[in-house]
Amino acid sequence: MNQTPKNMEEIYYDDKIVKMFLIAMMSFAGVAFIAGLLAAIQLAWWPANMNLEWITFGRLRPLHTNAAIFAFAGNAIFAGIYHSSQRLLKTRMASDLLGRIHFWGWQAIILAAAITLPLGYSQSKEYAELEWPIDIAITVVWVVFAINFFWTIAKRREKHLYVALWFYISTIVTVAVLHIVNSIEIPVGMFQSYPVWAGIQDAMVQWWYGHNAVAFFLTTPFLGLMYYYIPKAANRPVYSYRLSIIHFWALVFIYIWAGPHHLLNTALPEWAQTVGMVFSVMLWAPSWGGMINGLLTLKGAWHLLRTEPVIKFLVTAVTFYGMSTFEGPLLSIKSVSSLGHYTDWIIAHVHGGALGWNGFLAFGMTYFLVPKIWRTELYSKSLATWHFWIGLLGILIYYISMWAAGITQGLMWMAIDESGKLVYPDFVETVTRIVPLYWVRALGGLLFIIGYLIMCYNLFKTIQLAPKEQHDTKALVPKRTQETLKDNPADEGHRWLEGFATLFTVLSLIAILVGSVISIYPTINMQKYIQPANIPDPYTSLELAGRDIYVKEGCYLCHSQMIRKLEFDVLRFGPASTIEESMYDRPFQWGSKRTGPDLARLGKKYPDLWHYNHMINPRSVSPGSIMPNYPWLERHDVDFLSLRRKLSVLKRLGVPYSDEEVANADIDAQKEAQILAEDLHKNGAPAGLEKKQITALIAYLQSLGQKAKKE
Amino acid sequence: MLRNAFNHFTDTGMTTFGLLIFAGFFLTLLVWVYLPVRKKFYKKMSQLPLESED
Repeated sequence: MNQTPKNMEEIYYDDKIVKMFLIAMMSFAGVAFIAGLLAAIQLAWWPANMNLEWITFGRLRPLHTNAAIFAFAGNAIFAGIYHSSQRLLKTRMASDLLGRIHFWGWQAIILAAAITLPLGYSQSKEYAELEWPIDIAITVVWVVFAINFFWTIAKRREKHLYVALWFYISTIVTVAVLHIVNSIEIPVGMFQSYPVWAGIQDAMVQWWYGHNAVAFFLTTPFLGLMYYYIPKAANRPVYSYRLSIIHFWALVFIYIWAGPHHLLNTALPEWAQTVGMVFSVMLWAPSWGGMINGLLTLKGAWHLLRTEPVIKFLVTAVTFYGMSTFEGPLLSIKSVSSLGHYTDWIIAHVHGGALGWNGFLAFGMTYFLVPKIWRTELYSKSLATWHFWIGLLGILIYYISMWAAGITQGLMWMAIDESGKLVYPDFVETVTRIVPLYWVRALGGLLFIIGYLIMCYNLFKTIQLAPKEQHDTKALVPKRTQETLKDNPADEGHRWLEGFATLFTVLSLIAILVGSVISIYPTINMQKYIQPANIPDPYTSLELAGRDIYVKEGCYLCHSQMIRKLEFDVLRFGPASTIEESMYDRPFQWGSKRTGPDLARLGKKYPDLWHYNHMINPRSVSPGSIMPNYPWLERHDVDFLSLRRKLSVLKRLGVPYSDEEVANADIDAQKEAQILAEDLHKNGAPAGLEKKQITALIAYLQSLGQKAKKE
Repeated sequence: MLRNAFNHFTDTGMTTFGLLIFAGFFLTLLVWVYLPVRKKFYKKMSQLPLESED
């Protein structure tokens, strides 16, 4: 009989939680990918919107991004963290129950997102669209996860924390800070809220969040997984442990500053733009340090790349990480941003990261994990290799087509002839030119999905082959005694720091707070940048109702409201936007993509009837437009009764509404709607639009750029 | 106080000073991590993932 050595004990790792997260990841991946493919087809062929409000592009796109980030990547991260942390800390997760609450809570949040986003309940803040009750649920579930994770660290049997764990710690801490600060909002209904931040404040906070959601949800946890699973799969230690220390501290310190690169050439103060640009360029160094460290781990084992699908996926993922983290700093240079921003180049960039880095790393990890924890062999290496090549081809087709589309459109926007006029003054011309590339992109997405389906089949067959009796992994680990955890007098410097999880966590928190406070605090004190003479009038209650519809339909996903301080932007759309113009905007609607034109100065450019016709069928007034039809806007009524509550909340937040305006908000809106609807009818629109959403939306669109005080 | 501190953001002398602190801190960290005395320890740390059998 085997004897357990003295000072050692047998424990069982919780494998079931890893299996649960892996299955959830694979299931939700399908939702994310198919939503993405449908959105891609809608851009190539507008009838794919099917005149259905629930799947129209503006509502589908947040569903796609949320499913990809939080459901697919999120569940992948949790699977990897639960698996690797137990082994690195040589202990079972502290609480099975907290693990289950985390799992089911997270899936419930995803389900809530999948229901509310198509219904149009959205805060319209990218990757933070979910409304306030779900925001609260996310906070609770994240805290449950954090307690379980740090509790596990506290009962560990290995004194020193391996580099992967540092990346997990920084992820947990930073995501908590980002989510809470960006979600400070005041409810105005069961599924609607206004952020406390407005205009430039909201822009800064949102892009500090948005950029760092990429940094601390899609990068740091995946780097942790890279530092664990590449050495495991290649069966050799990481190339340089020293480099990983530099990689970690430089990355967590620098990343957090880079948010303003999403707002280059806008009304944001120059210094904040410069800080964002400089830190983004600096980010290139630690990112490539990490990439090189990941790749060189295979030194002496490169032959595995030829034979092992797991290694193929992991190495390609790290290569895409390198490409994305080269392209990101490049796009953050102001002059490059003036070409790339608002175009499909950015879409190419994010998909290089999401499909190549996150997708392939998650796939590689899953091909490694499933046979291990189900105690069997992978059903077919050859199918996994097919998946790899088809998926890679899909990513490349996607990437290259969107590069071409983005740069083509960007150059067309910028083109000015000798007489100082725009060469392509008609915006729609720059859209129809790239529609063929939208088809190519959809093909790339389709190939990626075919690869994913092959993977599903392969994993299904693998699990079928697994023994029916499944049990948790047994491990022989040192007993948790003073001996195993004692401070070694020889410990000093970083090795000393790794022994103290709490101190380590506090230091990483400080590292991210420095950049956060310095970049956000000044813009929160917006008053400093406001010229009192330029303060605009607030929206009327009807315009506000229309604005809420604009937000609900996700118009910001294709239309910016920020004319940059660039000659070609000013020539096309009018004088550059100012900070004051959006100072009452909750949420801000500066946008990040121009599939359609900028709308900051749209007001009074066209008659009301033009807008009516445009919303019912955009092609009737703008031939070649790829915008969906919005027929339901003339069917649904405006919720006039909620307006008093909304104005009252905004007044409390500092918007100068009088008590009278708040008290009569619904009546005023109805009166204004009556006049607008009569005018529409007089000009040929159907009668009876005074209560309809389309009327409120037209009122809002006509107010854009019209609120600033005239000289 | 914080507001006063931020007023120095447009002061190139102050921002250069900040940059020097930052670069100095980073270079010190770099040298410290790469000092040869801890080689054995880093080797041990890098073996941690390979200690579990599965």
